[in-house]
Amino acid sequence: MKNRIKEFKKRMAPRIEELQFTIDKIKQSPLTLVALFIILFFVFIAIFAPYLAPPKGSDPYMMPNYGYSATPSPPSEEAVFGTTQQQYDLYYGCIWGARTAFKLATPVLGLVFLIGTGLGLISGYYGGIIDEIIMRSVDTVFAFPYIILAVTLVIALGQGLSSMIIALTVAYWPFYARVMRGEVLKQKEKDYVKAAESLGASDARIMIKHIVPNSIYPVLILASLDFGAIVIAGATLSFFGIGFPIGYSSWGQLASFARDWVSLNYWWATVIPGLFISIFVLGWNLLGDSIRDVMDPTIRRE
Amino acid sequence: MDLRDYIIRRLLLLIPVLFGITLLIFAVLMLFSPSQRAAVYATSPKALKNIDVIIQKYGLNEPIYVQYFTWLKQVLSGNLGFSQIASRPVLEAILDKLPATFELALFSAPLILIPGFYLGTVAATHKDKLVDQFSRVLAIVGWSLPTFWLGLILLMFFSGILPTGRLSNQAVLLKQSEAFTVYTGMNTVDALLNGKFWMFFDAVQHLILPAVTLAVVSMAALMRIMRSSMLEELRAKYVTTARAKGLKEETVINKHARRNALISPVTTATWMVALLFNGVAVVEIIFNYKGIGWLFIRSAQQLDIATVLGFSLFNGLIIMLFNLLADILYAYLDPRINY
Repeated sequence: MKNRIKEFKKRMAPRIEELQFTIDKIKQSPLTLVALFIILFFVFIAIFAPYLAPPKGSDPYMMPNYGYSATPSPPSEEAVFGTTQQQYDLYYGCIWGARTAFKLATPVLGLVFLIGTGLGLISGYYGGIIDEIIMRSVDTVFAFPYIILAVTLVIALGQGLSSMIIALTVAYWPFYARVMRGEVLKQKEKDYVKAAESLGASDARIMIKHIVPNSIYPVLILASLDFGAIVIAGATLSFFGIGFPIGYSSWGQLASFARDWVSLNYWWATVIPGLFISIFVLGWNLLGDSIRDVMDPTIRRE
Repeated sequence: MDLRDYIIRRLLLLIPVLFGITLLIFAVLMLFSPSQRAAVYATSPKALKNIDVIIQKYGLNEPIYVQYFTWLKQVLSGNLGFSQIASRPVLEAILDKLPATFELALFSAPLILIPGFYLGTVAATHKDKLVDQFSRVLAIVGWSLPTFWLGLILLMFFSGILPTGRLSNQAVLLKQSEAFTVYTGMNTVDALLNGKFWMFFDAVQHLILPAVTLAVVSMAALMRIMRSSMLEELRAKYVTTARAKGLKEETVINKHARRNALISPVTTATWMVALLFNGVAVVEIIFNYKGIGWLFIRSAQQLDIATVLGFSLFNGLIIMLFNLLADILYAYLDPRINY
């Protein structure tokens, strides 16, 4: 038993060393810590939304409004961030908007990651006609700017969270497929894959056990950079009034309510929801940027 | 294989993508009911009143593959349906708004390209120095600001100083008068061609805010791409050779490294154009600048599906052509490329 632990330790030593190196690198970069702090802050808001802003109606995602006057009113005791057009409570909307952001971006990122890497893996590994079909589909989707494609799909599928998730997934998966395919093509020719093949390993085993662990990093970096981009895309759709029903807690929609009140006299209506989006996205972008520096094997030890 | 063969092969590769684009738009179209789809086939508002006639005429209850060919035939003949928003045929509406957007892109381009290339190069040659850190922060912040919010903030500060829309009322009157000839549909160019300088300045004033807002995200992206491309070139052996020969650092950077570093941004040109289109939709709505992006979002808000789908198709084709151009340019620029 002791021997086996020893052997295990010996075998894992390089991995542990690498992990230690990664952690040291993260500690050395203050921006990564700032990024993690920002993200944890929003995770906290999203989890504790029911306590930070207790729901008043039956659907907690619908923002409460105090009266029907169109003019936004300044921060007060009732609404600490003030209210926006139609007296919707800004504080409530911003807090629950954090939940909306996670509820939208997490499934989209998960789906594009699975679909994109899966198709990219199959495409790169098998080549031939399968590769041709998948890559031409990638080219097809790339011919559409993602906002244009997502707007068109949401119009066809109808408003709501699930339509937005489908629309953004359709618009984003090709990036992952293309990056993954490129990596797989590089790995496929290497000796360790040939060795596994000659030992009679099945295609599935070679792909999942050997190729994926060696080609996944660039895709992970892409994913960490995309979280913010997806939140912006979702906010842009709801800014256009296309994504969510009116009154749904969403930063983009709050910004669109300020559309007719863009003036320094009503600064809170424009500035506050925008700050929430920007800081949230900034956190993810900082994280993505530093992950790239820490993880990328070509610049990691420079 | 020479460049001509490469271009021919590239054109042949367009066929499956062309098929894919039409298939995708058609698939979205089929999500609607036959009576909603009728708008995509109608050629006049009168025809829209008799939806049953359209459903009969174009066989909107036929099997899907039959409908695909009927639809494709319509599209190829230039009929994208009737736009309720613009109250004219969709294709006409798009072509009418196209010069406005082209003009906006034209004014945005130098704001993207000059600082993008310049700051990217400087950041790479001063890696990890203050300039580099500054450009990095600029890029990350530029990426993190949603375009619509940046637009609103600029509007908040400059609303009294810079106007929104495309022209002032006075200039619109002049444009509609008989003394004025519309050559291109681009207000600045037409104003100059007509010799009306005050109208030129009027149009430019309206372009400042949208052009700046549109430029920020693309500029940040280009700067980062240029930086990493330049860094890669500076690591290459030929740069070491050039330095070893005793060339001045200036020459090494300007004459050797930068020329090669310029190639890599070309490969991302399609992506940049797509990025620009995303921005155009946002910026035109915020500044009430009536171009194709404005037309698209407005029709999406009013559920005018003929315009939405017609524009998507049109947009897909434009970007596909840009893609082709970028590939050809890339092949032309980089003699090492394997056709």
